[in-house]
Amino acid sequence: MIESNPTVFIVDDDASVRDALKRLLRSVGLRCELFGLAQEFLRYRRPDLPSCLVLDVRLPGTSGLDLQRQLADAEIQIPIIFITAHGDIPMSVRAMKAGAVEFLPKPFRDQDLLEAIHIAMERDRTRRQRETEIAAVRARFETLTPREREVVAMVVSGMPNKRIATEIGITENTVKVHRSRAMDKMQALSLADLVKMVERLAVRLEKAS
Amino acid sequence: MPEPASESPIKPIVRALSLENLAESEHRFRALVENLPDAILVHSDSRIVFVNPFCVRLYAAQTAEQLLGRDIYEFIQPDYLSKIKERIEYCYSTGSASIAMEVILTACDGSLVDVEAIAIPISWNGAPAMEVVLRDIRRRKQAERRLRESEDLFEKAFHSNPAGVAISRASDGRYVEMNNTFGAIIGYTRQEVIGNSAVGLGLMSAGKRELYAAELREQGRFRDSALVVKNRAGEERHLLVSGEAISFHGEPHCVGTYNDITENKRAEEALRTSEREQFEIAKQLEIERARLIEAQAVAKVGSWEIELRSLAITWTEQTHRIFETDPLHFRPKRSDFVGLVHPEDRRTVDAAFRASLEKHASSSKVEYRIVLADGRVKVLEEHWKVFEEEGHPVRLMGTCQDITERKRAEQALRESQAELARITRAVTVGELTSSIAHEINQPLTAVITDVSASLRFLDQEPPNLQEGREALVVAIREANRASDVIGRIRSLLRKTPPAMQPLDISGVIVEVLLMVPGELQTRGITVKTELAAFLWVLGDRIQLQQLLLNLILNAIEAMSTITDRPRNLLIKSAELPDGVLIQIQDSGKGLSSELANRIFEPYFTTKSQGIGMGLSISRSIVEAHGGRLWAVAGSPYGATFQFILQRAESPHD
Repeated sequence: MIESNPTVFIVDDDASVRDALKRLLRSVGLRCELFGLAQEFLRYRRPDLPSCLVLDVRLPGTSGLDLQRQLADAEIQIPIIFITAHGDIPMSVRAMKAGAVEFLPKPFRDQDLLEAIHIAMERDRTRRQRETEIAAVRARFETLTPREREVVAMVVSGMPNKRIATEIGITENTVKVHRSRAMDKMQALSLADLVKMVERLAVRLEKAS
Repeated sequence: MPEPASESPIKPIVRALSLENLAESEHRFRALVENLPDAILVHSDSRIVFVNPFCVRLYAAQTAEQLLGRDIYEFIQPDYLSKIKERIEYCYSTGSASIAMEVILTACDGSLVDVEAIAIPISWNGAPAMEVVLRDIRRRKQAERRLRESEDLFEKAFHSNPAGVAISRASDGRYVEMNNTFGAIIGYTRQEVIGNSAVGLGLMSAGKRELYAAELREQGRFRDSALVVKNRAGEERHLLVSGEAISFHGEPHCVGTYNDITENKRAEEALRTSEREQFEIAKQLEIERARLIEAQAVAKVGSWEIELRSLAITWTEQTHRIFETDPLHFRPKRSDFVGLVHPEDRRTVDAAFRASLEKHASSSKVEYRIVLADGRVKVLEEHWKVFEEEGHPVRLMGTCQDITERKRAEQALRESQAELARITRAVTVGELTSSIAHEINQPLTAVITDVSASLRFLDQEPPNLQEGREALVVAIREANRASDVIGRIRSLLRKTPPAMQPLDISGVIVEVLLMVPGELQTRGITVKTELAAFLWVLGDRIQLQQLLLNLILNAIEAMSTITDRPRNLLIKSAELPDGVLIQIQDSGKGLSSELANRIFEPYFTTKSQGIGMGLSISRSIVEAHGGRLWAVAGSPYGATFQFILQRAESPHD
């Protein structure tokens, strides 16, 4: 079962810290992957799982803050928890503004880290779920015939059947047939449900283009 | 042989007299002779036996009797005597008349009389006698003399004329006369010149001569015509020639005057050359000056000069630039200069100049500040030399450099050095904290996380003892790692263990004073030392240096705000029965007795920028040396920081 296997990615150049974190996560049943350098994490082919990133700020080579920026540039959406032994306020503000879940100065309480990981995982899970739903709606939408898509587009824009029939040049009964089939294919329970699906799809399509 | 004096007017008469017998018409003869316009004298046997009235007048006698019977020779000038005697004898012997002879007689009144005499042998009362006809030729002689004199004069004037003069015939230009100067100018002898022409001698071209000739024909003269001729030696002579048309022997001639101006020309040329040279030198100087100005601008070094007699001050452009004055209109005077100098530095500058003059120092230096009109302050450095004449200073020449930037950099450097010294002293609590924090936080993070994990494993149902135990083992290892980090840092801070050795504390004081001359000078502090020679203490040189430096810098800082009294720093070292006492006394703001105790507490400071560790560390150093450090408030102001160190035996004993 996919959802039960979340993974925490940890990037820290201090091996002791890495190992201690791994042990802590294991104690609460969380899987984790360890990296000593930002570049190593970038090269890693992540499995398609809910995940989050525990990231040290001071790293040799690409710093934690640099990695955050690079991920954002590549549109890789993964919640980040920063940890640092040398933190200051401007640095944490920067990290949080760039969307970090939490900024924890070392040494931190285990509870604080685990809570931050929980929040991060929830966030990732929600995101993933939304994306899965959109993908499903999209898959169903793909099964519609061109005529059905045309009718759906007019229906969600609020046109009555009679008007749609006139616009396309078919009988009102034929419109009703198309509409009913499309509702079935989209698994829409009501007209409102269909409108919601199409809207989400439209947003997604818009974003993709 | 002398000819008969045929032209004599009296000859026929004499002949008649000799032919006819005198007795015949003696009366008539006498009347004739006496009225003759010539003097007649008859002498026989050298005695005068007859004179006519004219002869009496000629001899300047009163009467004939005055002359009769006298020796003719006594009237004759001695120069002529022998010649006359000879003639007379000849006339007697031949019986013929003499030729005309010129004789000078001495008249009765002593005057000299030129006469022309002809002697004719006659018979006088039966005896041989000589009739002499004397013609007064004084006028002629005088005219002749005058002519000769004027000829001499002319000759002299002609030949000794500093200008060359030559007379040439107008028709063919041949020279007929020339003076010596002319010969000297052209280098030809008289023989070569006379009969030759200027063209023939190669002095001028035929064309040129024709121009002169035309000028003479038309104007009768020409004046100061420039002519360059080549003399016989081939040298060029520059002449100014004037010509005047004259008639000579009835023929048109030209009197040419040649002024040799070759030397003038040369002098003129030399002058022109020397003028050109001077111009060249001036130009060169101008270039050099421009270069100097540029060099000074590049080096930012100006120069100046003071004439001590007139107190005239000269500044170069760069100097003006430094003082920000207008080189065209601002003429610096002593008062201007003094006005620019920072009031606090005037005495220093004055003293430096005075000292250089009094000590005859060959080179001197002073550093001072100037205040510009807009209140900006510049720091200048001047080097100068005193120049003397006959043992007295007459001039100062020097350079002036704007060292404001350098000073600022030095000041910044000093401040950063002082800051560094402070940081070094306070290093355990200061800057290192954050870097230490990082070093320690890493293992601490691991420890805390491991222990947390361990607890969670132990809390599990059933407890995971294996994992819980492993986590604790790792935690211990990480805790030790943190401890190691601290140990490493501690040993880093204790880089140099104290090295105790016998030290001359007075020597250490001198060393430390050499580290702060800039601080002392910029704050205008006068340092005095009263140091006992060779005071041996057992100590760590570096730590004692740090201690002294700290106390001296504190003293300097305590005086930095003092303006109403001299800033004096006095450092004393003295031997006590049981140790060595060192005192650092300032004239600064002083201490209250309450403050005197608190200042040694860690983190106590009276300074806006201090961290309050300096005196605390200083006291630690003294105590580590088995000594004592304390402060005493001065009266009425200032403070004395003093410490006692234990004595050590001299290492040389």
